[in-house]
Amino acid sequence: MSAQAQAAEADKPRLQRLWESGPAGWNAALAKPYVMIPFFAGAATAPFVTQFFVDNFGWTGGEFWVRILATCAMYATLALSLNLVVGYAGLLNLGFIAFFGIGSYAYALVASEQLHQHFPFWLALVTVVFVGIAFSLIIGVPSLRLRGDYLAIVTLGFGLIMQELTLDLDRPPTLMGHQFGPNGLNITGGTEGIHQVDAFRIPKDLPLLGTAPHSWVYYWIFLGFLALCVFLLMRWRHTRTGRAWIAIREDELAARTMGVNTFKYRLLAFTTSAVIAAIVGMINAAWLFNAYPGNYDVQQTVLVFIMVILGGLGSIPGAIIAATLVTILPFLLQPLILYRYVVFSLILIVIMIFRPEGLLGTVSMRPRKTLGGTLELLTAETAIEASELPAVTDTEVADLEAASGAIVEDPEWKA
Amino acid sequence: MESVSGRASVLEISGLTRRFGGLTAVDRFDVEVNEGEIVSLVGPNGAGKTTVFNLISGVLKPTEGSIRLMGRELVGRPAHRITHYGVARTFQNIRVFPQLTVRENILLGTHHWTRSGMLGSVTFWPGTLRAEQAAQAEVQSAIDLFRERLEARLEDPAFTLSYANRRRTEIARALAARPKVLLLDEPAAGMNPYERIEMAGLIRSMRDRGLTIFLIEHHMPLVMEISDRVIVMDHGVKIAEGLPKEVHSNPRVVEAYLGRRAASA
Amino acid sequence: MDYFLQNFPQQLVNGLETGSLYALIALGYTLVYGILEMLNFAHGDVYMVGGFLGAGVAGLFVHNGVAAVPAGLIVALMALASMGGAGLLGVGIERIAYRPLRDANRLAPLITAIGVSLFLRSIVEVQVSPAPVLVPSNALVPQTVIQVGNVTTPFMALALFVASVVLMLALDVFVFRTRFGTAMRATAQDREAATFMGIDVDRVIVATFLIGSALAGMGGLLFGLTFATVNFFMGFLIGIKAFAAAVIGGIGNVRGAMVGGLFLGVLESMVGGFISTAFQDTFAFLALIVVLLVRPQGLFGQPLPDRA
Repeated sequence: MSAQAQAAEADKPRLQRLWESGPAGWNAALAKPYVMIPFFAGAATAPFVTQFFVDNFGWTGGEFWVRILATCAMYATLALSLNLVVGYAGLLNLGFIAFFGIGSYAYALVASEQLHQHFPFWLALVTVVFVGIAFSLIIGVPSLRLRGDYLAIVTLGFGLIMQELTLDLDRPPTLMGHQFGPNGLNITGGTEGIHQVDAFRIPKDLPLLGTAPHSWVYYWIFLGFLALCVFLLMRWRHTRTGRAWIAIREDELAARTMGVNTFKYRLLAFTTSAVIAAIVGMINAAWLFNAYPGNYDVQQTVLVFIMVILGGLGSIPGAIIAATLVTILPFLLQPLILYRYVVFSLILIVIMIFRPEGLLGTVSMRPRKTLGGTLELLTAETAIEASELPAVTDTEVADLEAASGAIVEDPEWKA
Repeated sequence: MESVSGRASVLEISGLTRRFGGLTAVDRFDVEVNEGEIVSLVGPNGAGKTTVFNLISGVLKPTEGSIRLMGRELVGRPAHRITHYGVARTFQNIRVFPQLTVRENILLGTHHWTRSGMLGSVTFWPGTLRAEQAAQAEVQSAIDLFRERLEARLEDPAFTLSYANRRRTEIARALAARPKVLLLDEPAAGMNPYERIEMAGLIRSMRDRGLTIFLIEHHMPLVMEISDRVIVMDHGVKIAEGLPKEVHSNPRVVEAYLGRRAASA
Repeated sequence: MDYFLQNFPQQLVNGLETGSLYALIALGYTLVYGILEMLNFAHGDVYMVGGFLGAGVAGLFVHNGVAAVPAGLIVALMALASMGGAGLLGVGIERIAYRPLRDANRLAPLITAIGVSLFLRSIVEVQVSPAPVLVPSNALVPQTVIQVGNVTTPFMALALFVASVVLMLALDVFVFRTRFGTAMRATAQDREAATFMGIDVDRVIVATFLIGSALAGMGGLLFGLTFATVNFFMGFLIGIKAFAAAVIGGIGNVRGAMVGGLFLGVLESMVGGFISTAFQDTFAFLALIVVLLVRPQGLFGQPLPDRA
């Protein structure tokens, strides 16, 4: 803007400027450390708040609500992970929830009686990360070169295959009537899942307060991992990696000609998102003491999609807010709980038609009427720029026109 | 690799051919661009000029031919590697990244020479931090030539910019890649006379700073004014090459643009 | 080897049966993809709604397993309801959910389609029935079983196959021998150019959705009559498989959809019979992935341009 306009802007109170900057501005304002840190610090005190109400007002919902908050934190992390792969890198990973399932089963297999393994926490974590990377490479390397819609179907197929395998590996596989493996070979527990999974072996004693309840500990673990993910995503967004991701999403060809190895970065986004989801699955398995085939349910992927779109693609605060809303709302509106998928899917459709950016999103999916930009490009700037003085004199213009010579009468000649 | 003018050859294209099924878009195209030169590629619409740029930058693979940058063969290399070897380009229809700010767009130019990865950025590794700082510093030098036109707009998303400023951002982004040769595809398109003069000055300044420039342009006065050499293409074939004055009185060139009658007039 | 030879014919017949179903649904996918380059995720659920509409009509006229009016009439009414209802549903979805996003980013209509798909599934689950609904096919279609050697073919399986082939031929004639069909093909090749030729692209798109959805609805009806049941979840998996079939045959290609559908049905049947029913779906998707990597244009398609 010109100097005058800038001066006028600075006179407005900060809050008013913030309000006027619209969702994009709000998103930028919320995604700052001085907002996030207090937020997480405050959120961490939530169990104490519920305890206060339980102790002093006889409220019976304390434990229940801590568990709901834990679920919110869990879904918020999943939403961030999906945001990374869809919002930053532009890949429609419809088999997303499969990685959550893979994480929970991988952990369950090394921390239960299923295979008689009981790995300590760090070893289990390394295993889950490794398994997550392996599976994401298996599905990613061949598929990431495909077009968006094909990638969607292939990842969806992958998710369904994983669910199939999990349900069917509770008995030895057969080929033409021959059985492979000993009788009674049961890897995944089939429809039952794996039970009696170990919780994390970590200290649960709080100074001055005694042993923390199971749900509190896991709420804090989910919250802590969410905070870590927020940090990672914010850090990446403001460095080379995040810029490359967004460039790929915005204009893949231009990104390539600017030296970005698009395949590598797509794979990085895909794999990182997968590993995050796998770790969330691991925490989930430890919390609930089991790994369950429902963890692979494609319905869950759609639910997380709804959170991401509602919050706005590319927005970290948006994903957290939307995840919380979507998780909590059915509980607040109890009679409608049966209709929650109907309502959420309608919300998704309505948002996509009327406001694809969601609440705080930064990705414009609207029709692009002009080359490489949205409708805004023809406004504002042009008016101000035209009033600035030209940097050259009229005689210079005349000289240039005169330099053309015999062929050209009209400076704009084309064949 | 010394050329007639005594300068080192930066870009050597020989026998470059690209066929699309039955259509030969570029037919045995040869050119040598030397260090510090401004070479213009002109020709009627559909002559194959942008296809040549697409072939050089690796977006398209040639059917035949060779493209050497400082002696290194580019054909068969992926586009992002070609950028790393030293080729940067702008596009006819301006491809800035709309949702990224001007600054971030320009920073993208530094991508290929910045050592800053995922792990380094989250652990605040000193090497990574230094690399990020170097990239940020490059932004300042990239916009240096625009006399502060972009300075005020650095933190604004690219989609809010005027046409001319988006053109400038795209050029700054290409400059930030520290290329050995800069391919400009119709840099003066859509500009008014004042802006065109500014662009001419800009191109000359870039050359004065040691850049080699290969450009496609339709605006003949601009081409005549700034080019060291002009190459004319028509229907995929090079039909003339030489100093600006030589080329524009060449009857074959006139014929290509205006038809046979005009050439004999 | 004996095992193989003994069971092969039966598996083949079974495969053609499910394959016909896949083909019917794949036709709708391929038509829409050809014109809009869009994956209509909700297509499988339109099939499901068609099945429910047919079941609903059947329920009106069949009480306690006895048809109140001639069975042929009931089936005709069911067909009308299924095809008509599904067709209208498809048109409605296009108009409301997809048209506003027609020129947007490629991912946008896909995401909306996912939402529509979930919406249809969940509303049928909650409003109609979460449990499978029985279709009184006993009273409506012949239950005869044709026995050739040790291969048993129920009447409906044959009917399914015949119906698919007939519909595909009809569609083929329509697309290649009529003026409107030519308009459809022109729109599929270059939408903008088609408008310059005076083709009403909106009408073509509506017709495409109408035809594709009606075919899916027919598929749902036939499924209901063949297996005597419909459930809210039946569209999802079969929708994905049908899409896989369309891709294998060559997306955008009508004949490809038919061949792809039958091929996939037979492949699945073979895997189910000779390896394990547990891995049927896995193989179906593996086939899809292999095709996408090795020959993305499918069996009958044109080579695709370089990447997104």
